[in-house]
Amino acid sequence: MTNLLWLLPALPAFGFAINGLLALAGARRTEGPDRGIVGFLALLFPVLSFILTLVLWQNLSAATESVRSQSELLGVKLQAPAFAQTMGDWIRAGDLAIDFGFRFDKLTGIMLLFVTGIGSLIHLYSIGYMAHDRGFARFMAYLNLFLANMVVLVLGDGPIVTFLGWEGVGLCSYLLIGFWHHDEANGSAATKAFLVNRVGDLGFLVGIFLLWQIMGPGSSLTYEAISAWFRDPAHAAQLATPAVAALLTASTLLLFVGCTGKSAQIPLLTWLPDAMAGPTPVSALIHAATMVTSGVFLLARMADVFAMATTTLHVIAWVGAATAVWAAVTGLFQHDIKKVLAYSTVSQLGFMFLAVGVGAFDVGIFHVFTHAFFKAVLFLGAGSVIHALSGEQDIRRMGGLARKLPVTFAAMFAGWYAIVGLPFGAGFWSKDLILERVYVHGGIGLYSIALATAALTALYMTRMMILVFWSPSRVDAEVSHHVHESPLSMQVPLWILGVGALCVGFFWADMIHLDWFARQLSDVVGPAQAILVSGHGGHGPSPWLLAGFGVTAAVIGILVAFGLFRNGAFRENGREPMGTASRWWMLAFDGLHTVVGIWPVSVVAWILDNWIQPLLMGILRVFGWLVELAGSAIRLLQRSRLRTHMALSVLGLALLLLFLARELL
Amino acid sequence: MSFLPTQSLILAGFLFSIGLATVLVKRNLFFVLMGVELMLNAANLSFIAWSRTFSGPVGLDGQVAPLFSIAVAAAEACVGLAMLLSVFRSKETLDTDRFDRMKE
Repeated sequence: MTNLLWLLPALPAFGFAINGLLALAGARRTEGPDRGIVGFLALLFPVLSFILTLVLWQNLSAATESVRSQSELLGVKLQAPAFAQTMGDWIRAGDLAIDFGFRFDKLTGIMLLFVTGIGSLIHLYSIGYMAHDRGFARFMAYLNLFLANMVVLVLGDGPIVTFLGWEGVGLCSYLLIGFWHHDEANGSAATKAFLVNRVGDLGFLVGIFLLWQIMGPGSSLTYEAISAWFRDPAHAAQLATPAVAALLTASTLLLFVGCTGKSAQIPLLTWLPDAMAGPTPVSALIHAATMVTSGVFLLARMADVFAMATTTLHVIAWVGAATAVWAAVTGLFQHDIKKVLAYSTVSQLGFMFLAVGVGAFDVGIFHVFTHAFFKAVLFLGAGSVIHALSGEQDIRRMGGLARKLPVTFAAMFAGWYAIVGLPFGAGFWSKDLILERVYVHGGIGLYSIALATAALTALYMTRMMILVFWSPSRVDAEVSHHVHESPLSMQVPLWILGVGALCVGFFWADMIHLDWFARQLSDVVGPAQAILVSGHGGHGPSPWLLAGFGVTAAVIGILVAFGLFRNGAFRENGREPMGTASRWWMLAFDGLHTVVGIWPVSVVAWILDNWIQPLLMGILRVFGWLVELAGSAIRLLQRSRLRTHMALSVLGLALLLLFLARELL
Repeated sequence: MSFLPTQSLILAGFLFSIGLATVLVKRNLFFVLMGVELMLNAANLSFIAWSRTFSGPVGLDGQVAPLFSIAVAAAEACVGLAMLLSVFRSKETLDTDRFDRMKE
């Protein structure tokens, strides 16, 4: 079973190869390749990958159970099992030895289950959504490639293999944001996403190398080895020395910079709202459910390292909280339905980092899991609305769609119910756990920020729902004739994910003592959390009380939203609700990037262009001139007469013979 | 009594010099080709002379080489003459001094 791990990324990669070839083969025809075949193949391989993940998960669970019963029998704590497969050497350079290997443990399994599962559903949805697009085959090929890279990212047995997938999903994100590249704005959004992510990736790489320095040259760079090294009590003294502690803080902070790039946290967050230029299934799959959560995944994967760097965890918690509240406020001012959801994603990612920052890695992953369901259904529902309104994305020109699009409405209602945190939806359980952990381990400051963000989340999400579905219709008369429910291939994912958004929270319903999810992750992140929690023994107030606060915040947000936007009333005439203040609020980080990132580079570029370039060109000119001179000298030998040539070559031959025979003479 | 190839080699050198002189001096491409043939045959003659010196009257080592060389020379003459014809058709002359387009 173990040696089938490579198939997980290989299946979608195979789909990419076939669909890519089909897309190329059909490039000349006006219609493109046959949509039935392309759609079938594009869906088949992710589904196969999902089934394989399920089988592997079953086997791993069985293995874990047997190990657990054994260790109870023997009274010894045995290592939790994990499937691993090494494909071979990858990098051999001096002390550095990196194998290309995959590792399937409980954390990987949970990530893979929803990556391939939701991925398959979104592939199915895309078949309906992109059916009329000329680039259908190319689109499906990119989606398959994305899935393959995402699986590599999650399945990698060390940070370097993860980095390979990390870059791969970045590439696919770039390709898919700029999918409709005939519009220049889409192309620049793609470029922006790519460039901003490069800054983060640099942090990731340097962070890994610093980590390797800490562990000492020659050590193996796999998650297993890293965890073992940082768990080993023998290294505690070494980690306590100021120099190593500083190095560790730097290393973890740099890794976190990588996560801020991929997961759109302060300061590298501006690319995600712009990334909405891509087709809606892309926004749902890449920019909501899977890729953007890989930062949280990485932190949980290296929980043992971060558990030793408490300073970094504080930074992560505060950055997460700041991002959550900033994005929630920004989401209030958006008119584009996808932008609202994009800022909502940034805000929810902030929640996840907040959870990780207070040491609740498993809760962070749980929120990743539930968020994948409800945000995917919200995006897919938004896509369905856009599809129904012939491409309209402005919520000021929507309204009253609940009756016309019943399936879409029901699905988005489920997503809305989950994200605002009303009782027993998916978001209720995960957000509530976050709030509880933040209250116990993070202090009252972070808790009040998180609570305020929960209220803001309810406010902007309810605003969106009111403006799209409940308020009086403001749809253009011409468009409203064509309003139609989406095809079946788009409805099925909506149904499944809508039900998921309501139910998946019960995998870890702490208050009613369902903790399946936590037990799965306890082998992976348990030791790290035990270290972090050991300092704070105290228990907070009853979880029911904290949940009550959370629900109260949500209800307040919902009521305020109904009070403000009940009639779909807007200050129209094109002005922002709060004028320039909101504009400044939204563009603050673009400005920051310009000052911190672009200006210094521009200065360096100016110096290079105006001083260094002429200097280098001058030196090159001298060489060029020398070569030219030599050439014109040699050209004198080039006579046009055949006979002269012959004579010269005979002369040369004679000289050569004389030289060879010089000892005989 | 051993065979001394002196006379043969002198003859071969003489033939070679005549061939080389023809190639260098003649302006007609046809004669240049004939000069090349002459040089080839001079080489063949020296092969046979040295063969007689080193492997005796019955040794065939050096005598086989001219056979190959003659066959190649025949083929080469064929191609050479065909090219000569085609050059003449396009240029209307065989004067080598007029073939100076390469320099530009």
